[in-house]
Amino acid sequence: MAEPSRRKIPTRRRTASCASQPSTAPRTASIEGWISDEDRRFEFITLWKDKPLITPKCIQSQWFINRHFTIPAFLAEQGVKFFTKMHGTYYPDLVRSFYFNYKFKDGVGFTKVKGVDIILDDDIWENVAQFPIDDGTSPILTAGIEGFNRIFAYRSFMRRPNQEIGRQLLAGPLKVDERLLHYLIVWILCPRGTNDAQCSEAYLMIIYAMLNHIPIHWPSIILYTMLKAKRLP
Amino acid sequence: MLISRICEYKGVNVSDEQSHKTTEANKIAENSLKQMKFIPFGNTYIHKDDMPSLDNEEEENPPTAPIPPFDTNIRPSSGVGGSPSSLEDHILNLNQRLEEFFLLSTHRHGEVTSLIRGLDSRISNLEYKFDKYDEGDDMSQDF
Repeated sequence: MAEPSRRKIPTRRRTASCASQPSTAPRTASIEGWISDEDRRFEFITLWKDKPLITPKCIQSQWFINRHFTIPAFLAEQGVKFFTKMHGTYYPDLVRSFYFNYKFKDGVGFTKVKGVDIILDDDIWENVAQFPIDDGTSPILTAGIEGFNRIFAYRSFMRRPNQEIGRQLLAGPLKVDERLLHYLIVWILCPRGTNDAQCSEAYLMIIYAMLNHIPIHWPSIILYTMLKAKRLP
Repeated sequence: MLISRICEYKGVNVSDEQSHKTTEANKIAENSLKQMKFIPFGNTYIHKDDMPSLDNEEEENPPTAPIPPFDTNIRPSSGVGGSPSSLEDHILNLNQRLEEFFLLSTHRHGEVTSLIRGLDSRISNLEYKFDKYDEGDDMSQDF
């Protein structure tokens, strides 16, 4: 799906490149540093250089622990407590460069940033994201969950399960824990940057798995999210 | 955030890169709950729409509202504006009211039981007359 759209780009980039190139001059890190290939550089300028990024968020878990929320326990059980607490410095241009070069093949994600090849393997998941790499985990989005039904699950998450639901399943009617989990998924675990108020099937599956103590294979979820982020216009 | 950490872990040169730092605004805590319309209620958080309605609050208010006039009734009798004595009077008044209420309810109970007794005696009288009539004459002949 992403390949044809990229092939069309060179016809447009010829005209846009001259205007866009000078704007990169005042940057401390140059575009040549991010992307080595000249053609790909034009593509980056046209499509990715000014692409807005999702505001990074992190959970202040102690605040939730002090108020006896069950969310920190769910996060700890799933092994994503560290991941959801990650904060500090971030580099917007490197993030764009990462996504621009990101590819996904045979279940493996790989990319290149400033000439450094990055393979998203267990080394990264264990040491950077600190996900538990366990055989007992399930890639729920591809494997599915036995007995999961989108509507039944959504109804069980609602504050008033008998309330009428429309065509779109919205996050507004959810109970506090479910709503918080949805918020964490939307902003940290699987950010998509659009339709935050909606409960997609993938989000409902993740919430369902977390509430029902089904261990999730988080690397597969992150790789899936990255691929979706790359394909978004 | 993960991507920036991956870049650092993989040794990407980040020294000259434009960077930002996460701040308090990036943290998910009470503000995020407020955004989701969840507000503190006792020891928990509930949705704004699930808060007890204003009507109920207004209903709850009257018991507190009549207290000031009630208070003013007490103050002249106590003669002192001090809160401990007025509170004492208040409790005394409440005790008196409770006693009155108890007397009233026992009185009503007595009334009801006497009425029932009256009904009982009238029914037994009727039964007695009916039995007497039954013995003296055959009712079927009248019909």
